[in-house]
Amino acid sequence: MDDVGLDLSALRTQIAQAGGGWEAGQTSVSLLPAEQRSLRLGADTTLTRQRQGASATQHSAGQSAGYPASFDWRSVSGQNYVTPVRDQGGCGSCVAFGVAAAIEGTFQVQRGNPSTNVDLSEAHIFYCYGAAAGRNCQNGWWPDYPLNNIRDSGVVDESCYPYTAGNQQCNLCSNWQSRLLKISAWHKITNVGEMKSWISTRGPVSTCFNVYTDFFAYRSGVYRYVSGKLEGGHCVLVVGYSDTNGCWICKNSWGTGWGQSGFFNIAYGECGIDGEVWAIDGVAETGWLYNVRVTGLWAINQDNNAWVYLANIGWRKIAPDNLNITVDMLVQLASAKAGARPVNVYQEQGVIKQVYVF
Amino acid sequence: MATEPRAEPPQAGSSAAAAAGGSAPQQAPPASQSSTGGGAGAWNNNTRITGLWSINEDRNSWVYVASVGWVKLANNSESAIIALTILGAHAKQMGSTVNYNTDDGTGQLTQMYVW
Repeated sequence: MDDVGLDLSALRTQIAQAGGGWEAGQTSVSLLPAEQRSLRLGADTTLTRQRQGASATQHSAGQSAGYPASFDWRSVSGQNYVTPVRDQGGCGSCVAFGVAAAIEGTFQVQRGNPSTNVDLSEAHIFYCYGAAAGRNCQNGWWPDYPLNNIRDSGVVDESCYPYTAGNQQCNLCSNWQSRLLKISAWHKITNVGEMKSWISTRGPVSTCFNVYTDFFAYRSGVYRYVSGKLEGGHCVLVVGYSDTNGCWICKNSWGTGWGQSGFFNIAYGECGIDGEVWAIDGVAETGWLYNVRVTGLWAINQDNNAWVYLANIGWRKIAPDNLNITVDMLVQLASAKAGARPVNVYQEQGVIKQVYVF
Repeated sequence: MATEPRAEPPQAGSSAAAAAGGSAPQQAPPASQSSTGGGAGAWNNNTRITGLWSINEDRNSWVYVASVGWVKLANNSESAIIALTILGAHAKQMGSTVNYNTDDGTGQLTQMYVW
């Protein structure tokens, strides 16, 4: 055995016999004892239905849908919109990392700025929200729940509550309430064509899949399951895809000593990777947005509930304080849409509080 | 009983249609729209507003949907009917694509996207 529980020589032979496609080797995770490796996971699949990957038919059916054949947020016009690879360490907190990474990536795409230095607190997500829901390093979690928490209550930045691996008391900084960032909404996508369309236009998405023992030794190539037992569920970030290679491009949360500097390619439909993904509709920012375009309007038969769609940003709610405020702003923003005029808007947690139309 | 619009827009062929919740929008813009729906209910998508009607009665505002006819805007909320009226007027002025929902069992227009 080269690593604990992993016979790399035998694994390489098995990969070759299976047709190749990926390379196994020593990694920062394959070297760990089995009980420590299992803590690098953390998707509690008992909180959802059984995962299944998309079929080859589903992938080929979407080929004419208008999205590019390949896409990678690490290289869009020479810019990298993906935040750095993190390390969850010995705690089954992958859900927090997968969710935080999706929000960070969406934020940078939304801003059109790959260098915002956004870094959200996985500790806040896991040790505060997760712990309150009875989740810990041993039993993991599932993305629906923290996404609801972040939509409703927000998440602080990393410096307010830095991540360390291990069950602990929620320990936010003193001014945490003024450092919260919310998402406007999130949704699941189960159609692979829609996944590719969303990823190539709106940003990276979270996904979860089944990890088998051989995955711990992944070094490069397009991963396909070859050998080993089911170790558990794991959540990561999908940053792109390649129809040419038939794979999703993903960011893991096992540090840069694993995989391709922390990233990996996994074949379409493999291990449930594309059964469903979690997309962030928008990040609810506080501050001014300048020279943006209104391209959509929405209203419903509810008091003071009207929204505008800002190009490259997403849906934003108009201040619901009272009828006068909501209607005044809606009239001005509809006017801007009608005249294709740029607007400057001030948002508080993603709610439009002030409008200029020129 | 609230009055209903009776006139048809010029060259409109169809007759009048039958008259008669902190949610957030669910649909994406047409270019990236993944589905024609946007939640539960009866959706009518890719339509055009070709007429508007209002009268000096409380919360009584209608839009004429091409190939459908007159549709009454939901009147359960003061701010909502004003917002829907603004969206309808904008859509008519711009010839915009409109997706709307009439899911409250009364036939009233309860939700509208304008692109």
